[in-house]
Amino acid sequence: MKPTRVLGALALITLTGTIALGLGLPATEEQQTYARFVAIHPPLAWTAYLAFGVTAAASALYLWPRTRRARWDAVAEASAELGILFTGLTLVTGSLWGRPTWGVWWTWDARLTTTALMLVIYLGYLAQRSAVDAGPARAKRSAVVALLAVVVVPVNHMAVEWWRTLHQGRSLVSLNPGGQLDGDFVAAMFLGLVAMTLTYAWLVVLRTQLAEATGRTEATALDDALAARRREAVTT
Amino acid sequence: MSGYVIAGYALTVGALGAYTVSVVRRLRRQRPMREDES
Repeated sequence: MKPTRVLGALALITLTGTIALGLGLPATEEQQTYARFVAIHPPLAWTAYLAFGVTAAASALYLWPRTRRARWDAVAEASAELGILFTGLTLVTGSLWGRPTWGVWWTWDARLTTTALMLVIYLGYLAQRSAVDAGPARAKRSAVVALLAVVVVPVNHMAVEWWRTLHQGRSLVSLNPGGQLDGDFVAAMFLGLVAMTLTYAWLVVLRTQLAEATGRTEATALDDALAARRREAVTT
Repeated sequence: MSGYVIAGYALTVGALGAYTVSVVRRLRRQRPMREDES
């Protein structure tokens, strides 16, 4: 069995487990059944951080002359796209959690605002990529943009410590022994972290393969078209 | 079970599933093209 398929199977199994464990969590006195969001919302946010971190790392590897490969540019693009997907889902699940517990779908709170900012910055990253033709110049410029953009990630993570905010503290701290969460909730969140990370890893491999295949097709498209015209000229 | 919770889980699974299907389909479309060229 191919490693990519093993990764996909593991992602599917752990994701199914997360849904089963998450939806089976007991209602709490403070949050009622809404506490079940703990199995998906913090893991989605963590995976978005991971994705943008990988985009920055791949971009740094592309910029460094010794490690420069077109593949790093493809990884950076694939990971940014996935980061946007995970950030979008973080905002949606957060909004669905916030409405019944805070009473609002959205508020201009430090964590929420920096998350929205993170989404907009990376949408801009993808927009500037699609504005010009593929090639080394675009790859270099995109790598610089990605290294600047990643600054928003630690700011977003630390927003709950640096500013007064409606959002709870850093969820990853809850995984520490002696944290505020009960065992069932910690287990569900931990499984969610594993599931989302595996899903991300699987999808980033597939998306990178797609970016490379598209790049090869685009690179040979002009040569193929010229060859076809020459064949037509010979036969007529 | 709260509708908010169900909606959150359904949207997450739906979005990840739709993205996966989109990538796999585009990848399959690219592969036959490459095979035709060779």
